[in-house]
Amino acid sequence: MTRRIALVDDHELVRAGVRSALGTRVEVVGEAGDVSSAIALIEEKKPEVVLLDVHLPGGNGPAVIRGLPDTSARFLALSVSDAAEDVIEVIRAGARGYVTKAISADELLAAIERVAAGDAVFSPRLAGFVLDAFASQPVATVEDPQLEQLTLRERDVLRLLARGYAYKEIAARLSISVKTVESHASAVLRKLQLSNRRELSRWAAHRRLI
Amino acid sequence: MSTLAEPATPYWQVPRLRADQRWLAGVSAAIAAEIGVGALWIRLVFALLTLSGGVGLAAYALCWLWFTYHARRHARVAYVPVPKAADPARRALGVGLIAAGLLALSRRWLPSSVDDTALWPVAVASFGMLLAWSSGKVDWSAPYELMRAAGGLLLVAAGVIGFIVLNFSVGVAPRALLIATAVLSGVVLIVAPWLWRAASQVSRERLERTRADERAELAAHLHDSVLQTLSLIQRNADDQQATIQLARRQERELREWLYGRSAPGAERNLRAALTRLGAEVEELHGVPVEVVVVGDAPIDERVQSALSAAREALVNAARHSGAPRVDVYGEVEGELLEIFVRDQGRGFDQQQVPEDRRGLRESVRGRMARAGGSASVSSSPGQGCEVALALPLRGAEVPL
Repeated sequence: MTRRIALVDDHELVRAGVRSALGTRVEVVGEAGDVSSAIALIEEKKPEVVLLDVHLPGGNGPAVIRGLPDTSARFLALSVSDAAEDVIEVIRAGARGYVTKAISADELLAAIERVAAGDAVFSPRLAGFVLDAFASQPVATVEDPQLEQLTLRERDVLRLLARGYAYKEIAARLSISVKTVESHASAVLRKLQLSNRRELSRWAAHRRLI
Repeated sequence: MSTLAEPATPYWQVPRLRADQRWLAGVSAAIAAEIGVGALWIRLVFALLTLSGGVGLAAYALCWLWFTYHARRHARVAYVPVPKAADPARRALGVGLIAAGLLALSRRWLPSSVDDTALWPVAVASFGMLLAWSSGKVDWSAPYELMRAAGGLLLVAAGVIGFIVLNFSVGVAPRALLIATAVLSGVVLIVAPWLWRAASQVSRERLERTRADERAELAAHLHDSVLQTLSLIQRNADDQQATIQLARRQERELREWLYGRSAPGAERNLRAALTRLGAEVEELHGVPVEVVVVGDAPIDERVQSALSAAREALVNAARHSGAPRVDVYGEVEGELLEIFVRDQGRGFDQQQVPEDRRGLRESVRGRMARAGGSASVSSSPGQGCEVALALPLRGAEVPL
């Protein structure tokens, strides 16, 4: 089944590039180049997945997500390697993942599938950002989804993601199922979205490095 | 003495004002430095000239204007004072002779009809005028400049009043003062709005110029970097590998420029060094290298060994694996530094490693072992390869 996606990026060349890389394996229902037209497009066409640039004229990626509180569309941030705080910001606004534009077409397609299914997508870079963000906090000793710290297992999963492993490889390495890896990734994403805002921005201000 | 002077240095240069040694404006100190005598001597000469008919004040003001103007025009030319004459005694003698001559002349120059009563007020007023002029822009945030301007105006007023008082009967003074004040107020009323407008225009122009400069700098940078790369990409459109490489390098450079990560000394930390390493190998071998670093540590000799080992592994992966991308992950947690270099390329059977690759692996392992760490390589055909480096740090983590 081909997914219905929308492309939101202020560079037409980038949109054209993504469109041609994905070919007919997805159905591109529309493109937008700024925040307001993106919101209008997503409301009208109701795509399953929105590929969203982090930096946009008129308010950046997070503004698009916040402008659509009731949408069923899921967001995947797709951008050149940005500063950590910008990426964390778009994830906190509700994006289900972040991939850099260096990603291959096959990987991007897999990421779209994953986001459409409601799972989280971590590129190595995002995994690194998250590990860094939680680095100052102790590791949780109990499995409690309400805790704002990472569990040991989540940390293991993130580290493997940062090392460039795919979900399937991680599952094999940790001797768990792919489903479990996915749920760990989703839990990390939730924690990132819920965690103490002040802590995170303090961290982000501290290192504006990749 | 003359051996110190460079041949290109002119024998007489226009002195530079020296704010650090000034009493009044630094004119005496500047001349003294140029000649090579103590500033006190020059000050004495100016004082004597001033006492003999006020010529010294006018001369001082003129020198000041001249030096200031010259320094502004030639601000980029380095000024190194060259002492005159062979030894300090001769210099002092020269200054003394010149001063004596000037003193003698100052009386003869002036027509006999001009006496002290006319000369002194005029000298004071002209000095005040130059003082007021030389204060340059009226900047409310610089009290010294304001004081200078106000002091100059005060001197001008004193000179004018003195002239009137000394040359006419004393009874005229109050009325003359009144008339002078009225005339001055009138002039101020007429000129003030115009002055105000001129001042605000100047500041607006300066702001615009600053903006234009910034824009020009930005344009210059984009031209040298992004536009060049874009044209290179157009020319290499058929060569996908070259195009990707060009784009990646430009991306990295632009990001560095935008986020200012190339701060001096940044390379002394693991994070910057590893990122740089990835960029280097990527450029050299044309394979995208994705570097992710968590935590940071300063680079000492042992960390440097780990970096060198990581570089070997990275080059190896870029060269032999055939993978479209190499992932590098560095982490400092507690007192352990770990670096992983991973590719999803063709991999190899560790039992049947070709000679050249085993050598490479030995150099990675050997390096790590010598630094007190360890290295492990895991790979099998079709499964890619991962080199894991571990190095215990001795409490060297940089606090977040």
